[in-house]
Amino acid sequence: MNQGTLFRRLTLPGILVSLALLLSLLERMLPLDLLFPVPGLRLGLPNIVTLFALWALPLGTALAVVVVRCLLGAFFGGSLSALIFSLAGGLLALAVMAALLPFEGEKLSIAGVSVAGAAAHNLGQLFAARFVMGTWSVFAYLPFLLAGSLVTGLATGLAFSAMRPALSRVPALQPLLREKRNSTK
Amino acid sequence: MSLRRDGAARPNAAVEQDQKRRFRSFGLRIGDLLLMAGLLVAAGIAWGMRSNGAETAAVAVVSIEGERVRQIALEAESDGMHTFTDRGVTYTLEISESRVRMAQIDCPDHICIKTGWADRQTPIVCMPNRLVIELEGEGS
Repeated sequence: MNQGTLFRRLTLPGILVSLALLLSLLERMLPLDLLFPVPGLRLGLPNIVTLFALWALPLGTALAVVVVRCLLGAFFGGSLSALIFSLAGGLLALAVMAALLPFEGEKLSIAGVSVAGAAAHNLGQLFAARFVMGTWSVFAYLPFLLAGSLVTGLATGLAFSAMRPALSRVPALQPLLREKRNSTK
Repeated sequence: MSLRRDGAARPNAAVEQDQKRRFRSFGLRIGDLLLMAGLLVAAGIAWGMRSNGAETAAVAVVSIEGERVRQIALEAESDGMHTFTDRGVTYTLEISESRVRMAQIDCPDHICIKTGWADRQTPIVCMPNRLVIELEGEGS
């Protein structure tokens, strides 16, 4: 493997996984539940990493980043049910954002993609909760989670769109971004 | 000469205005706004679909991992703190005037405690302990 391949297939995904884990640790310290005590409502900072992965990396690598992040997150401080929650939310959010990202342009911005991803994440978590808890009554929290994903998705989406101009000038990312542009054309 | 200057000035002004407009709207586009409006409508529909019932309930049902482990007859139970242990989970409920809330449980976020008193529409959910408290039946 030459250095470029090593960077895009191992180093960069590895950095992204650790960054996502760090962000999920960070958001656990944020007292968001003091304002909105809704089970499962999080700011979703790791979503910024998923957005970046979808933007700069092939879909398969982005998928690997999400799955490894969920596995390691459960391994370090979670349980089996935490793994089910984060996988269901993370994968559904990835799928929805991957489907919407090609439409980003004049009519849709990255913030909208992120809001849809946040809503999908919360919906996925609720379905996981339905199976773990064994009762549909958890869907009583759906309106709060949907309204909440509007705020959290907007926050993470705007954060990424603020960072993207600087990120797109990073020299090491140039070959990746060129490749991504060619593959979507 | 003046033609060329005009030709150069016009697109620049348009670009500048566009950037200003985008900055003011955080770069949001029509699709974003439609998506967010749709999400709010969906939240409203989900709110309307939450089961409506009597405000008071006869029994509180505690489930852990989908299994009913305890039924508490709220009107028969004395007011105050009640500590139970089911399937290895120890939790304390406060019962007062046929209402119930989570008072103490071992979990990292304590969201179920912050939820406050349970009502017919909102069950108490403790995700880390896979515990749900639902209200059933009609109180007198």
